[in-house]
Amino acid sequence: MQSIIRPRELQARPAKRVRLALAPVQAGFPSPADDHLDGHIDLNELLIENEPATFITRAAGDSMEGAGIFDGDLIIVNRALRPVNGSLIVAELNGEFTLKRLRIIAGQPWLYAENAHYKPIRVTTELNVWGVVKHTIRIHGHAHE
Amino acid sequence: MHTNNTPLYALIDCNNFYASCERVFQPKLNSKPLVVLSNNDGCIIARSNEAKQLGIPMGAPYFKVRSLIAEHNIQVRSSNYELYGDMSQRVMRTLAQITSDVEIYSIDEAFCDLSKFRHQDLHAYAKNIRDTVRQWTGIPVSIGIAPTKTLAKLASQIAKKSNGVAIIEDDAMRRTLLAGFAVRDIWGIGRQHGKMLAAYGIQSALELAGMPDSWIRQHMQITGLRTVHELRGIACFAYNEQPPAKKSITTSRMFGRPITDTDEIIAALTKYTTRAAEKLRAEQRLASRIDIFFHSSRFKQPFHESRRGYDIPTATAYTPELLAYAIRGVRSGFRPGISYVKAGLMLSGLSAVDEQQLHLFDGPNIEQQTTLMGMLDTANKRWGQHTLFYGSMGTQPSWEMKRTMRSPSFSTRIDEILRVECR
Repeated sequence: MQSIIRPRELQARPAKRVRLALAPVQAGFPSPADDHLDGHIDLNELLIENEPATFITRAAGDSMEGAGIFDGDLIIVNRALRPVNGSLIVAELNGEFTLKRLRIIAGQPWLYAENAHYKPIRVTTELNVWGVVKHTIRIHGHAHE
Repeated sequence: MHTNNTPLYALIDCNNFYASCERVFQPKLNSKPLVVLSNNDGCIIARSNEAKQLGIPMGAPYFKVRSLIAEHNIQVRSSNYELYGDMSQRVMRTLAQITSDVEIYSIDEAFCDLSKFRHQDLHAYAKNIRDTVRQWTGIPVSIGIAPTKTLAKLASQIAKKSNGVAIIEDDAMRRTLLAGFAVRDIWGIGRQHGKMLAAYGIQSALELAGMPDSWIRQHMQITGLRTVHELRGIACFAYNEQPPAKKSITTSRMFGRPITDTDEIIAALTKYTTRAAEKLRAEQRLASRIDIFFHSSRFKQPFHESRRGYDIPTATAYTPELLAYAIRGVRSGFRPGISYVKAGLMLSGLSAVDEQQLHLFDGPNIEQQTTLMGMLDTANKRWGQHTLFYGSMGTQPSWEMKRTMRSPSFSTRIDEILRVECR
């Protein structure tokens, strides 16, 4: 049976911890940082503000490349955040989920792609926002696999 | 009715939970009739409101309603307990963040002790819970608030049919609601008692509440009497206490002292799993999902909570198999150096023993297991020896359940996560 991948499992594995940079070793002088060896950067803390409301999804397509989001990137969606003008949002559009930049122009919501090949969409019906995006993850280094 | 000493409970109940989980990730299913099937696609175990209105009965065998499903273009999904389990945890964690004293009652229901909030605007309080759970998780809930658990449950059922919140604020209101509520739908009144009461001409909850104690005790024993007292507004089921659940079995306890050792957590979970499995067998049911959780004190740093869930390929009530999962859950989630204060497990995806026939031939020897379990249930004492079952961890079945219309595990598997269009 496969293991279930949950965001918090990252936290549970010591191997995923990133040590803070330590002072280079100098023979004879104890480093003042040695007392602080416990420090680590927790990626979950950095990327997940509200766990029960956070979902990880995947980008499909090139329309958000201007925002630095490419095909296959992981998108961390926080459903607890309220969208504001300029938010990156996952919206429900015609029964599908789409990633867009929300712009409020003269009181009217518009959905913008960040790629000149795609036209902005004016929202005329009720806008269904599934969640707000503050972080994305890109896996580099496929050459090493 | 709400004096300072009387308790006050809220029951938060997810609406058509499995169907709602499917909809969170598949907006195409919104406002369409939708049903979810049990293990092996056997029968209907969840229905959207639209499917209910089309007359699809709960528990109906799939093959019997197939033509009705085709006729009305009803959407069908196989059950995905991994998805439902994760969504359940999200709902419960949301509740834990925004209210206090959450008691998980089943996969889709939780009680909250609202005694501290009695002087607040309860309608506003309930609305905030509903709105927050809906926004954070996408799951719609109904809320009933009352001085006893049985009344809170009853109010939540009424809430489900109205605007999502029902609060029993005074005695006049209690009487009105009970008068319109059928006896058979009362929490804790089983089918047998329902029939018996009907035979005596007792139709409404109000009529039942008005029967003398002696009559109730004679016909429905002491548990029935507690339920009736609860209907009258006298709390008999305390926080963390309740009549048996229908959709899942949860056993969890605070430890007597903080535990930092894997073996001790395993010992605790062995006890809880054994109890849960006994309950399961007493109800003649099998589980197809097990979730194991344990956590440290929420008031101390570092806080750590472990949750592990496993789908069981062939539904089971066999203690050693369930224990193998429990032990695996502890081993994979345990973190050294943490003082754990509570552990528990939930069995879900419950089905009646006789629904399980399909896998009889490729599965483990059910008959043998049942005999063995029967013997061991009577010889209860032996169950403390959890080491007995370590050997069963090796017998991992490798076949898969028949779930031909299963949705992806959108929120738990990296290779099945939701696709967001950038086009």
